[in-house]
Amino acid sequence: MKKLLSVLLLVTMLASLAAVPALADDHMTISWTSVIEQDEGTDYTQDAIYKTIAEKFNVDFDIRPLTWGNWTTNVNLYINGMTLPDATNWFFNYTDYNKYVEQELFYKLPSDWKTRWPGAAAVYEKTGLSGVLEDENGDIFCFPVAIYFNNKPVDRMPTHLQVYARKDWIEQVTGEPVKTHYTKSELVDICRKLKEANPAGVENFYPFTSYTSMLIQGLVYSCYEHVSSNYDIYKGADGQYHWGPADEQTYEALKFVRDMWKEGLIAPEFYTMNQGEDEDLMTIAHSSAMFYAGGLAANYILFTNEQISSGLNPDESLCSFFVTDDEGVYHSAEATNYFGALVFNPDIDEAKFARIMDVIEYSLTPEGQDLIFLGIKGTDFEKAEDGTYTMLHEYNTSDLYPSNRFFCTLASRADDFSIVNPSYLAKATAKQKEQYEEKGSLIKDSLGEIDFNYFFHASDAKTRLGAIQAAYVDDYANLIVKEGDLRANWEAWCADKMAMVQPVLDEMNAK
Amino acid sequence: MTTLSMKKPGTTKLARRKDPLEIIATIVLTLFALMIAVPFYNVVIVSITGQAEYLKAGGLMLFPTKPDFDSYTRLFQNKLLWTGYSSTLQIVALGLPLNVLLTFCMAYGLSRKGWPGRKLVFVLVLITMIFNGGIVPLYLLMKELKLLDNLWSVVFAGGLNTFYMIITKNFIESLPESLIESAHLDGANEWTILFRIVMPLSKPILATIVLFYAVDRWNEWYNSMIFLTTPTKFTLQLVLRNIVINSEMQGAAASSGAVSTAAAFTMGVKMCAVIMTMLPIMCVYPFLQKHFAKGIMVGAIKA
Amino acid sequence: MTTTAKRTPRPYRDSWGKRTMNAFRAHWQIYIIILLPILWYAIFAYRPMIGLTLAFKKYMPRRGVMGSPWIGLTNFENVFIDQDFMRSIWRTLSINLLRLVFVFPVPIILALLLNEMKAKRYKSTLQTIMTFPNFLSWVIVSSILTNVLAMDGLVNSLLRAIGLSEVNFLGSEQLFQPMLYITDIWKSSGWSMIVYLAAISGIDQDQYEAAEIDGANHFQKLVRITFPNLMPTIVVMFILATGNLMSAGFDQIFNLSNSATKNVAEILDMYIYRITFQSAPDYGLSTAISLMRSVVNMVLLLLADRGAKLMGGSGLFA
Repeated sequence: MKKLLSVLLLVTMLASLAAVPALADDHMTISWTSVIEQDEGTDYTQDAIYKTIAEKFNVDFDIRPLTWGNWTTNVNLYINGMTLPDATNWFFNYTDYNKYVEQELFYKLPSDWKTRWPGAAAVYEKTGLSGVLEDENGDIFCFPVAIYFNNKPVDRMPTHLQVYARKDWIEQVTGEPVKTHYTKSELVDICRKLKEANPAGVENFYPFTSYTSMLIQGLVYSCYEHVSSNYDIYKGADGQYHWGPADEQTYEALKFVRDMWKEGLIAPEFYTMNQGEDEDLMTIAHSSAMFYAGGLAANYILFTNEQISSGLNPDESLCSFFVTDDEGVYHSAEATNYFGALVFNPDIDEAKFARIMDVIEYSLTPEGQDLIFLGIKGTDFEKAEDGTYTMLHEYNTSDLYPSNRFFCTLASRADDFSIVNPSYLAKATAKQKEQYEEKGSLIKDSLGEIDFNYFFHASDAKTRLGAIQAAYVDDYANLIVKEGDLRANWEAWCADKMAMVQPVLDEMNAK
Repeated sequence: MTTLSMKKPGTTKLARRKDPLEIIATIVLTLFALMIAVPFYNVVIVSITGQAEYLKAGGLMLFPTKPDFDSYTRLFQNKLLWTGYSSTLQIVALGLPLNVLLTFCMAYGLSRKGWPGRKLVFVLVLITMIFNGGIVPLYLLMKELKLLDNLWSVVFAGGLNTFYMIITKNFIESLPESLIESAHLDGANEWTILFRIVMPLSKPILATIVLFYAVDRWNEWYNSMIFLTTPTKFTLQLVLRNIVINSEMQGAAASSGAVSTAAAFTMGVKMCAVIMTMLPIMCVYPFLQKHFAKGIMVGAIKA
Repeated sequence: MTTTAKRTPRPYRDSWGKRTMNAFRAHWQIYIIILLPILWYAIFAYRPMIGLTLAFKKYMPRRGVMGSPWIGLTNFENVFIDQDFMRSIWRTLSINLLRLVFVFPVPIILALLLNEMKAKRYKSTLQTIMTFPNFLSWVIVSSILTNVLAMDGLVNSLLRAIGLSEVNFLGSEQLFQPMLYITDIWKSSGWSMIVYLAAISGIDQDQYEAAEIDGANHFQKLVRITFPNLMPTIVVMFILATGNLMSAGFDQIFNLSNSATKNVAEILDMYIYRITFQSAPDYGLSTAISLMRSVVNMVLLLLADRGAKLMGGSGLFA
């Protein structure tokens, strides 16, 4: 069945490829805003990837990069100031989406878009938003950016967060090969042994070191699926809506991390750390044994490289695993299969929009993905009939072709291709795939399901709830380190938030 | 002005003996300066230390065993650093004269008594210190003026700082009234008085507000983040901020498209950024500082 | 020049209109001089200030600020639902009032002390060093502090070395506010001192010479001449600082606080940041909050101004 589907998909994609017009005769410049990592003023318009796409569609891109730091501020200003570029990567949020659509601030996709760009429509189906986003007329006003579409590893995706750890040290204290997942008790046990053995031989050695948000999203969220901000409001077995943070399981989760912290297994001042500092302590300073980070091939490669440059052999010293409960069940909130959405200037002319969609359609095809992520066929790589790649030389695509940094944000994320990317370290791509499959097999009823009924519920009370949800990570961290009795502190915290939560619960239960 | 003459500051030879107050002042200020200098020394040291050594030293470090200029190399490779310098210099060059002109005109006008509407104007000016319409109306204004993605938007948005204007007004008011009155009687018009008499007498405050404005311009990042879209127009501080914040937030999102072979040494790059921004100011500052001490003019007028 | 000066005294007073006209005619040059700054204020300060009406409106981009529909006090009502809002207001006031007590006098003292120093080179070196921290952004200061004050940082290493117990500087709710004042003094007092130095250098030197002839010592000169001459500047700075009580400190506290200290750190501006950063900002709501903040600031400023006048000073509206 699955195979049949993918064949069908391939066929539609090939068909769509044929549908792409050979060469449009009027040249267009498309302004495009998205977050480009490590933008260093490089001219993206000079390399072969850019030129191939620019020539193919007779376009030029006026690229306006943003950073993760100013993305929301600036895009909100563009939307509200009516200065949206032709295409913009926007942080999708349903409440805001409704608000903006109502005020006609986004371009309405033509009603026949699914037949005109079938490849894009097929990817849209995979985001899980299909059928939910359409208004009563069946119109949509944005194009969600897919995370996985050709190579989706599991049907319903758990979080990708993984513990990265010193393989050699763990094997040394446990006396057995590292596993791909450990139970909570096993984790505590390993940390204790590590702390006692101090394999690093440094004065301040902490087995577990993560900065606040990773620690909470990693350890606390993998104890219970309804603590995180997206799935805190859920429909219980009784058919009523509940607020997860007030459940006993949340207390247990906080207590688990608090106990580890009090025992000195977690870096005492984790709350002062910035992203990257935790990772540096393990991969470069060698004074910590594990930390949380995204379970992505790109991360695995980065940590591998860091270990090599600090004199370690990553084959022996780097591993990654995840944490289950003591019954071996993995808890996680379901991850959405989209990351933001593309929105278009409401006053864009139809021909230009069509051209943008042509580019998107192409970028989502296997050929387009190959071009964006690998470079030029015949120069950089070869692809056999059966889909196997041969790399013609060793290179890092974004170094060789700076425009890769822009195109990989176009209308899909890099996650999908990174599962098969032949220019990556094979071990890293395998790890990325393997963790999803394994997590998938260890989930019983413990995958907090995306409840679109709640997700797309829009009200003032829910908007206000967003303000306290935004502070969950900090609030949990605060409860973990706060003096006094955890239970009392936690109960007081819940009681304090209830005034904001109850109206939302009432709205949902009344629905 | 012929009535002006130069005079040495009021130190007389009688006061050679060290005063206890002076000794206390010296000790207290030296301690305070030390409290500042030590962390600064640390900034310089971290900027020339390799990441591994920095992490192992854990806060305490006198000098790296092997100076490492990796962080600087990384920073210098970024083309935006250099365009950032250029944008910032343009903004300083265009903005500073505008600042001084607007500030002095307004301060002088408000310091002159007796014209109808003075109080009203002053109240209206003060209101702008406390109330502002927020960022969207300002953005829409720049859009209307067709100044978006144009350095002039940043120049105009910071055209006048009411706080500095009030300081200037206060200073002008402290100048001897008789001087302006006598100029009036000599038939001098208002701008002659402003530019020929008041401005030259206001050197200490002029130096002060030039410094304040220059530093504000130099540190400009928020307006350029809001109004500018082309990275090569970004100001220096915005570029450095993006570097620092981006290196902290990288990969925070769902996925990272581009693989980095090695993450930057965030702390080292931060410290390099500090030095790269401060260096030009530290070169200019001593020249301006000379003028703060020149309080002799005022005393000399009556002589 | 002045027509008024040449005018012969008359037995009756001119009408208001005529007097005003005469005054206008007498001062027309001043109006020309302030024309440019007035234009700037009109365009870049007052024009956007129309946006304050958004506090009573629902902002609709298609219809512009002017055309957006009025919704009465809804925005204000919504603000008060969240408990955190009122808490953040009190916290802002208490932090910044104490800031006024502990931080505000320091630059004045520094300026007076610096003025007592005679060694010219050394003096200017010290002054230069003291202004340096102002050029550091709070992001940077925060990473330096984390470095120096961490449990295994420089200060705690020293404390351990001399046999004292270590102090949790960064994660303690009790120490958070004192840390704010100390770091503020460290960072900004050298810079704020410049205003006072400029004022000191504007003091008429004759006064000192006269005092010296009277045999006044350094301390007496400081108390009788320097300080009184500095007073108008101090008063103005104080009044302006009071008018900033509700808005000061965002950048500092945002960067120095962490999840361990969050319960004592969230000031109003951080609250606004939190509720607007997460999703599409409700510009009506945030304008309503900042309008309230401005009103409080204004009341405080007027109170301080009145207070200054009662104490015999000239106040801001001289």
